[in-house]
Amino acid sequence: MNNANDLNLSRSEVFHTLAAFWLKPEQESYIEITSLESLYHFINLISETYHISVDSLDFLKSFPTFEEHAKNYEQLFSLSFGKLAAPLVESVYKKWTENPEINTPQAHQTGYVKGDSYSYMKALLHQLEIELPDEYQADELPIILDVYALLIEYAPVSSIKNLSENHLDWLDELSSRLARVVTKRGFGEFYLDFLALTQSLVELEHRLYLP
Amino acid sequence: MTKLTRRGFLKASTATAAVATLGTLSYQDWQKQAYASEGEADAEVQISSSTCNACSNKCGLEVFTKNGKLWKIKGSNIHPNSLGTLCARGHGFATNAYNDARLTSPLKKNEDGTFSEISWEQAYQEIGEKVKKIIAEDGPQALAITQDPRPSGKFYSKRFMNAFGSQNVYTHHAACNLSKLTAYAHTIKKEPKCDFNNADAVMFIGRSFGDGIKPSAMKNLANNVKRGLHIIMVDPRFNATAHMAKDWLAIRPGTDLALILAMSNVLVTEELYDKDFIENYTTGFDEFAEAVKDYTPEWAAEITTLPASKIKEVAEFMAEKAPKAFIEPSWRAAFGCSYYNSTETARATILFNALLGCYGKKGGMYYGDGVKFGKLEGPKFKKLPEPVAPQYGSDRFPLTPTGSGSSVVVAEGIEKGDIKGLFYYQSNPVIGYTNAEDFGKRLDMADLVVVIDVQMSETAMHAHYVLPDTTYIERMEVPSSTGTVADVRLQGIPKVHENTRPVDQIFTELAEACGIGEYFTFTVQDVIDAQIAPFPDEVKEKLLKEGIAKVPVENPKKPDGDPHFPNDDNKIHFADDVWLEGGLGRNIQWIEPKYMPNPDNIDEFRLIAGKQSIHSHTMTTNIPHLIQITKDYDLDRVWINTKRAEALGIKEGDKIEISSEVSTTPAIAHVTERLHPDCIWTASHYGTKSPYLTEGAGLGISSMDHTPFHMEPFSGSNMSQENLVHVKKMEA
Repeated sequence: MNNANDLNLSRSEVFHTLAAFWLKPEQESYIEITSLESLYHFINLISETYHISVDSLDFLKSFPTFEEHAKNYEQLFSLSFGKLAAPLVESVYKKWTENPEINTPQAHQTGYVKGDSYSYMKALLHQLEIELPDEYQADELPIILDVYALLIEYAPVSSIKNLSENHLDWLDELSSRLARVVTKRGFGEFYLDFLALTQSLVELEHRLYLP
Repeated sequence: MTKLTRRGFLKASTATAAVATLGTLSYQDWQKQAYASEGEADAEVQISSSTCNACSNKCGLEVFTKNGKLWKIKGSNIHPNSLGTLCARGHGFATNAYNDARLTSPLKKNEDGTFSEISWEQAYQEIGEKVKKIIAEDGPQALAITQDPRPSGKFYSKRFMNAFGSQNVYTHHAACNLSKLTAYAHTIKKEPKCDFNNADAVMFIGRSFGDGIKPSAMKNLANNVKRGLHIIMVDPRFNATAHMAKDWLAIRPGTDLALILAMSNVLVTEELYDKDFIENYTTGFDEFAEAVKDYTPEWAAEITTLPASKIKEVAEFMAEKAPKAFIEPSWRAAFGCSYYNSTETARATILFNALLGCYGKKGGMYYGDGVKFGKLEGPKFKKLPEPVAPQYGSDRFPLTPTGSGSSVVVAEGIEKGDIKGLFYYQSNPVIGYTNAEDFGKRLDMADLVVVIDVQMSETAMHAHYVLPDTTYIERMEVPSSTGTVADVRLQGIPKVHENTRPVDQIFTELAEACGIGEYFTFTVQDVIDAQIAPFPDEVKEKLLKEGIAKVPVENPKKPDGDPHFPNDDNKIHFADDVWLEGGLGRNIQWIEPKYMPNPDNIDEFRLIAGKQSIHSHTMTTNIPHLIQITKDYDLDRVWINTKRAEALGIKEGDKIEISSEVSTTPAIAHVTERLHPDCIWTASHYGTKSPYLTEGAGLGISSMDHTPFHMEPFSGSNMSQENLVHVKKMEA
């Protein structure tokens, strides 16, 4: 990497790719990101940018086929499947609100959608004049990752840090729930590995680039 | 809109980069702004009205939102069921709108039993094709719908099925109060209201306002007890209202009929009945007197295990307090649906109240005013076709009001091949209406099962298609009423999930897909406008703006001594041949329960069930706050009488095994003197089986697991407490 700008572009690209993977399955973009060429590029990019050994990323070579991915994604992450799924929605894993003025039963509990996380991400997207696709909630993981990628390229460190510390801090809880779901369902190990990679990269961002 | 990076998928404007460069709104700053704006005294608050959906009381409530977020809810001050309060269920159930276990997309069952998300278009198309096929091959009478009564659901479910020409519209009543409704239908036609505010004595039989709670009713009862109202609680269990009673009659379950027959015997023998009322408003008294002559307190004592002297005492007491005394009509338990003799028991209570002469009297029971809604007429509301066949099961249960029907007999119809396509709106019969395993197996035989709900219930698991409803708090509904108060559910919060649809939209679109769209060319607003059309303008305005309004009555009804029965001749017929049609006797008689535990078998019991004020059947068992109360207070434990527990070596908190002819389930024991020794008791909310709903997983048992699939032959009720179980302590 020649300069800070190149480094930021690389970081940004990594997170855009992470976001693209966690998106609801779409054949064209999935095939693009999982093509051999893209995969090798992605692995090398991660390795160079975050100093991770290429060998430890070997699992990425066994991306499921699009058909498998579409089925798995729906079963593992759809909100419709209640506790048999691990939705990629931040509000679910955090207190619905920290506002002490609200005292409805769900106010300070986890397990609910459209909480503070959602409201904040909506406000952020509005500030950035970013259009949210209809089928997504503002605090879904792919949205947060894609915005994070955008901030790496354009925003000051304080903004990047704010988003990471406040909106990528629920991945442990997601991982625990996904692990339970994978055990119950009997499939989905790949997603646990990919989530672990996502978590590692978030952590490395802090260590290496967000003092 | 331009994409800013090679792989970014979010569409952004060219200004995004510039904004980002300046720095974005921090989360902490956002919180400060958002919380400040929400917490300010003059912050903009949206208030909407609705009625609670947590049970069929439909208490009025106010929904407060700020910034589109649910802020608080409270009971409506003017709605007669709430009067400013809301129970725990009401508070908990509203949170379902945001629950992460909600259905968010139409689902179709795969061959391997899993479900996949499909589009609404695909769901409608496939359901429509299947419905048309069923109609072509077997006629519309092969379709049926069951709904749990809520305003829009009730209206749209019925119209939907009737539009096919099918009369197969069912309620949950077979698991609730069908026996009672049947008894009322053929005596005085409709249940009058109880004048607690002026009564001197009330007998509750298997009914607890404190458990199956309606906040205003419980408050009112407590105030009247303070005033001097004497309560006699007849229940195998010392329930959550019994502490307000002067007498607790711990009756052997299933024998309430014997008690009422003996009480009737006392009033007849001692001539304590209201002679004027009997003369003017009844027929067949002499036959009745003859019929009850052998049902002495001593006879009843053997059956009920209540002392004969006590039976005599309470009968005489009720007569002394008459006409300001009555047996409260109850709901489920003793004569709602639970026993083989429930219909006869309900009939007996109606006749006993006639002996007291309490109908049409202050302090007794009388018919109050209601709201008369406008008719649905005009081109938007096309006249429904004539039905092609009677309601399924009505030939087997000719006494059962077809407005309810037996939703249990429908399951039999599936097995026989008479019923091929079923729709369920917001009802969970698999776990609530009869034996879960049996009902589930029958559903699996149907050609088409469509469930419309907000969560993956046990019934949804057997569906071919599951359609996601919005929660009640996210939509507007057709009007309903309580007394002279009309209410309209207004939308309380913005729709939470884009891909859910409100019940009215679902049925309208389903109708289109099924070829009956011509009967659904109206909106919810059109229905509201038509139904409130007769009201004065100020009432209409209030209703549309605030969701609740008192409708003025010109000559309000008052108790004037005349019962004003809505039947044909304003009389109660003590003896009536109509009962013969349903297999009962012309005259009232003792009918034994189907099962009776053998007192010589120390491990043999009847399993009975009841409610808890924090839950509504199985609707609330995935609401974390309500389940936490269960866990905190061990409310899922199964009650067993102290002496019986001792004989079996069971102590408080012990793990026990409950086995029956249909199932074996573990449970935890609660040892208590507050229960008749012949039975064990469980709350009816537990034993959930859906893997999608885990809050209540592993808690308690479902009484329906031990109750066989059967029906009361006179009304088609589910006989929910006709069972025999054996209990033993499980080794650690």
